Amino acid sequence: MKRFQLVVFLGLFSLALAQKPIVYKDNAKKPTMIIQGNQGFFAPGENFELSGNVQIRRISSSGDPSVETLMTCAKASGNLVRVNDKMEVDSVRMTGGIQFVQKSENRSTTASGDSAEYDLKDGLKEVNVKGGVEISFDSQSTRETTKQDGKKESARISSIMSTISRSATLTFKSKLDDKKKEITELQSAVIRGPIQFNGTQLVKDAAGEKQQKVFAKADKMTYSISGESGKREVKLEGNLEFRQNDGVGEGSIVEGANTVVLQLNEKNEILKLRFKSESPNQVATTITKVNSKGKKGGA
Amino acid sequence: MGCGKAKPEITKEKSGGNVPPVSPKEPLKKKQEPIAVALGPGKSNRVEFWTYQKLWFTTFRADLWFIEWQSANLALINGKQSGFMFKVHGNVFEKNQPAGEFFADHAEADRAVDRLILEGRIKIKSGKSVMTAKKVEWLAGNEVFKASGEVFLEGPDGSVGPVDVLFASAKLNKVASSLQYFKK
Repeated sequence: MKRFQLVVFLGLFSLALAQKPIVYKDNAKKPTMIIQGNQGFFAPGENFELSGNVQIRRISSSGDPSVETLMTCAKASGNLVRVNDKMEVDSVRMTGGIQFVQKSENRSTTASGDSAEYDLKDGLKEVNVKGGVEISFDSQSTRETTKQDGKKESARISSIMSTISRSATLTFKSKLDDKKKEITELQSAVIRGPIQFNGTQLVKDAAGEKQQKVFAKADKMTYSISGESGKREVKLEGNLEFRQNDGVGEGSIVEGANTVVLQLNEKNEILKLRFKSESPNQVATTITKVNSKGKKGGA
Repeated sequence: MGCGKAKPEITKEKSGGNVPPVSPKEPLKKKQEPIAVALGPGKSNRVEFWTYQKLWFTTFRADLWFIEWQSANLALINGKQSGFMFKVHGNVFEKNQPAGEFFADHAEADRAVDRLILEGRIKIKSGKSVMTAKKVEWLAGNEVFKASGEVFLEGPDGSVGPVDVLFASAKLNKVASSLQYFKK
């Protein structure tokens, strides 16, 4: 009897695994939005509800697979509305193992958490992620370096800026680039703490450019890209702790500041740092050295 | 006792165009040999009448489906009739209004549970939306199509499928993986 029950259980289990998901595409031949899940319903023009391996994928209308928005979760419900002749999802509530990925050419933003809300607001796409939030802003680029023998070589460089926090609000904007390709770019991020921040600083010395690591702790982080100039800034504030490390052995700890404003380039590398304190002459820097055993020591 | 309001009574009658109604509470009869009758082109309007008695009798009409066929076999098994129709075309109804239009190689009307079963080169149309599948059942009580076997639906608002089983509203404007999403 037990063997029979096991066979029935395995049969049902394999049947559940073999079940095809229910897939909605905004256009059968050239889709720009694909929504799928194991169970649920779609009422285009009204709403949808899905559960089990839910995926909401928005592809660029140019068909470029490297430009996409992907949301995965265990359960999702929301509206399916028509905006400018395209179907869009709006007022989406997602729960269970959320992952949100926004990929543009050479750049991606990833957010994960326990629950999320996705809304369309005045031409912007807004994501609110809550519960054990991890966000990374990844940028891929190539940089030309001169070797010792004088030969030039180009190296692929990845700069990742990441944070761990309790909740975050990210806004994105879709626009056409110079080649008339649709791209979706991050406009702003407000991350509420306590936050652990990891970034990359671009340092110029006699040998050329090199990257060094930046670590910070704060209560709030704001990432913004301002309008046409594309100026990128990160502001960290509240219970600020700030450290730099070049990865070789030298580093510094900055104390006494309430706020730090980081000016970034397009690759999200930190170019300038501006510390602010409540009263003057409070900001102090301590240079640290890591000895061969990995222990820190002041210098 | 006895002076309270009488509970409303609901009685139900079914009519099937040129086919007489069958009572579901009909007593079991002795097994009989099937009787098959071949018919030529025809049409049938499946309608249900509800009589609701409260202060006075009110009769409601519910259109379930309308079907036209090029040829048909009428089988009488144990006194109950089953109709097999070939090269069919017709309409289903949502809230008594014609909604989805269907075309299929053959159809079977299951009168006991108000179900129309379509098979072979099926096409369900509503507005500019079209659904295709290997088998489609119209569940008249729920006003829902149950489609199975490589189900694909395409319309101006997008496409769904291919999928093994799909439930769709009469106007094909809502689709689901299960009947539970069509609670009335």
